[in-house]
Amino acid sequence: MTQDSEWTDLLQQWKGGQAAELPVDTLLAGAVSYTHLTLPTNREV
Amino acid sequence: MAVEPLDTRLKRLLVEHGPGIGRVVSGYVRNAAEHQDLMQELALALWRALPGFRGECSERTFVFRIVHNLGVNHITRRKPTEPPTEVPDPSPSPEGRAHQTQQRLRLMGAVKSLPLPQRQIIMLALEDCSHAEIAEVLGITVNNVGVRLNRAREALRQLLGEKP
Repeated sequence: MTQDSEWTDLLQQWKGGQAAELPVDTLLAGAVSYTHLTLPTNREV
Repeated sequence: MAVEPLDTRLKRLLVEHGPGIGRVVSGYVRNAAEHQDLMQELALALWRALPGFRGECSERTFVFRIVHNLGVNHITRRKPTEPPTEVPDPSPSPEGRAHQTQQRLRLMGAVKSLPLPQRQIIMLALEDCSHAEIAEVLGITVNNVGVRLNRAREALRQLLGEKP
């Protein structure tokens, strides 16, 4: 097996299979709510 | 041109680059709980960084740069005495795909046993990043990427050649 075909195999293994879906909405909600909680108020600024 | 709202933009980035982000984050953590924590940190970091992103590099480069910065911070602050636990696998393993899953876990295990600089470069290369993109993410020269990547590939080849 050449190094190139070896590498191609590794690429397929790395990305292989069906990736689980990220909990995008949960991540987004977490980021947004945390930011809203920690944003300084006008008085603090 | 209409400006894309920040939450829409973040959601789009997470959807477009999610699978790659998940794999690369796996390279920095030791278990599913750490993976989940780092993903949430990443979402927050992206939310904070996005308003300052001016498109000087691709969005993928921007995202991976943040992933790598957070990953390095995570490793630095982690307690050194904590033993490694399971290798998180972000993919399901339905019947009939057991071999494929086994191969992927073996590859992830080998990648994670590389020294950090080699691990970082090999993960980006496995994500199909160009040498120029890798250089931007890691803040090194393109020539340096070539040299380091050759060493990392050789080290990975040796690790995978060893009996599991």
